[in-house]
Amino acid sequence: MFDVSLRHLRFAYDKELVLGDINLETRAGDFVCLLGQSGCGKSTLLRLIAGLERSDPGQLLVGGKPVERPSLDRAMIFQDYGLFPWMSAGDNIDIALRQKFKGMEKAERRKITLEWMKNIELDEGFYDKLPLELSGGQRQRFAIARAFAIDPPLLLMDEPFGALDAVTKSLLQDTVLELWQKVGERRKTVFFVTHSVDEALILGTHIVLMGQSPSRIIHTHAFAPGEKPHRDTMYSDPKVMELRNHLIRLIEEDIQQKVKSQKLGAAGGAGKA
Amino acid sequence: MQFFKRYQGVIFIGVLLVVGYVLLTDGFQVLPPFLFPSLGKVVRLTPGYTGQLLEGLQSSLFLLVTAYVLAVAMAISLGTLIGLKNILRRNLTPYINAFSAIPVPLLTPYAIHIFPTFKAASIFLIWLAAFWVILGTTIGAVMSIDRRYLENAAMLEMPPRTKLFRVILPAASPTILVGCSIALTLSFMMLAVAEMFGAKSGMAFFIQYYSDFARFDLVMLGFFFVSVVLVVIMHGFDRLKARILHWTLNN
Repeated sequence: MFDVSLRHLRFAYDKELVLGDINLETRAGDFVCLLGQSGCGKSTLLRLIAGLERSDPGQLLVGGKPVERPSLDRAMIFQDYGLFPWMSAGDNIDIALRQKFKGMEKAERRKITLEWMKNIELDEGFYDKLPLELSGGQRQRFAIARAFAIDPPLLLMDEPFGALDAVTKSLLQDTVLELWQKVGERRKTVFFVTHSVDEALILGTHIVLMGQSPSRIIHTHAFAPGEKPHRDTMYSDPKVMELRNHLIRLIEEDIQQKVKSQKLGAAGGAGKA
Repeated sequence: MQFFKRYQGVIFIGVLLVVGYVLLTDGFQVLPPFLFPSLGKVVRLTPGYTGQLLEGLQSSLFLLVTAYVLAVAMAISLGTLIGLKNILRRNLTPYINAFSAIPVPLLTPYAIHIFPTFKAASIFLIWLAAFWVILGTTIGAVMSIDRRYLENAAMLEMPPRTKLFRVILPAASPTILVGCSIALTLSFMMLAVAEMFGAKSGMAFFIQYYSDFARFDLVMLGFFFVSVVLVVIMHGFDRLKARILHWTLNN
């Protein structure tokens, strides 16, 4: 289980600054929700932690070590394209197990795959189904099973439920929480990208609110043990509602600020012209 | 019964074509009988020339299969490499564009001069016609693989060999197979050109040979035979394609 340390992390695509001076320290076993509007750089931050983008040395440490490339120590669940469509759903888990546990017998891999399919409430009949034959929710269940099956200390989730209907989304949120909490002390560190305040409240032990591009952290909130909101009670809990409103207000203010600066920029440009 | 149900549209169009031909020839004699012989006459000729046609088929298939298989293997290997390596692509693209633009039939004299036998020269020309198409589509296919598949493979720390066979080639296969399909048709056309010089047998040779003697009844028989062979081969190819692409929406 890894802690993650971001120290003055900056990142630019070509010359456009996307992330500007991000500082964040998380402990092993935290469930960190990166919350913010679309385009605020939260997915870029996740890609940097995954090793899919390169940061300057020393700015990003996972488990005390700098991130240089993608690794099986960090599993990523994407919104789409999580599974290879030309492999059966079961084979998608199998190939991950083969990479992680070199030399493991095929029968053993199948056993583990079926166990994880059971954990995500899919029966054996789904093993040979192609991703094309599955619903969006079932595909994401397999992606979650694959991520947990290789047992990485760090789990990165990039708006994994963004394209799902409300009911499926709730069910999968509960599944992820259940799987994360199940292993107790050994639980994984999770970074979960979302633009939904409610999703962040339901899932995260820590909420990191990111402002518009170039992105920066504008607010963080850590729930004390036992204070984490529950889906059933959060809407009737004044403390949670106060936090929810506060987060929404901060997002609104950030958007207004961005719009204002864009208008000023446009007016300045017109004045020059 | 299921066969007829599945292909009823194909059979219907085929019947229409036959009826149309019969009407235009025997029926109303619109088409000159010298160039467009009666269908009955062509059918009656078939048993007498079956041996010669099958011998031609064997000879043509040898040229076609050898050249096509070599082209597929070489073009997919090279195309994948070029598609993956930016430096190769940057340096080779102008030459690929330049050489692939040369119409292959124009290279016939060079092939005859360079290669020791007619067969080798023919195989080279058919190979070349198929090679450029498959090479181009493979480069394009590999370059346009969705980045997320490659990132998924990177997150699983796939070694290059596993990545190539389990991710890159399957992801690129729909486009590569389109190239292979076009290349197969082009190979057939090039086969006809190749058999026009120095061949002793072959499907196109059969047509060319009897055309020289103005035996258009046998030329027509040759056309029908080539068409049937082409339909059978393309059908087999389509079934193979559907099997490889079983994971896509249209299969």
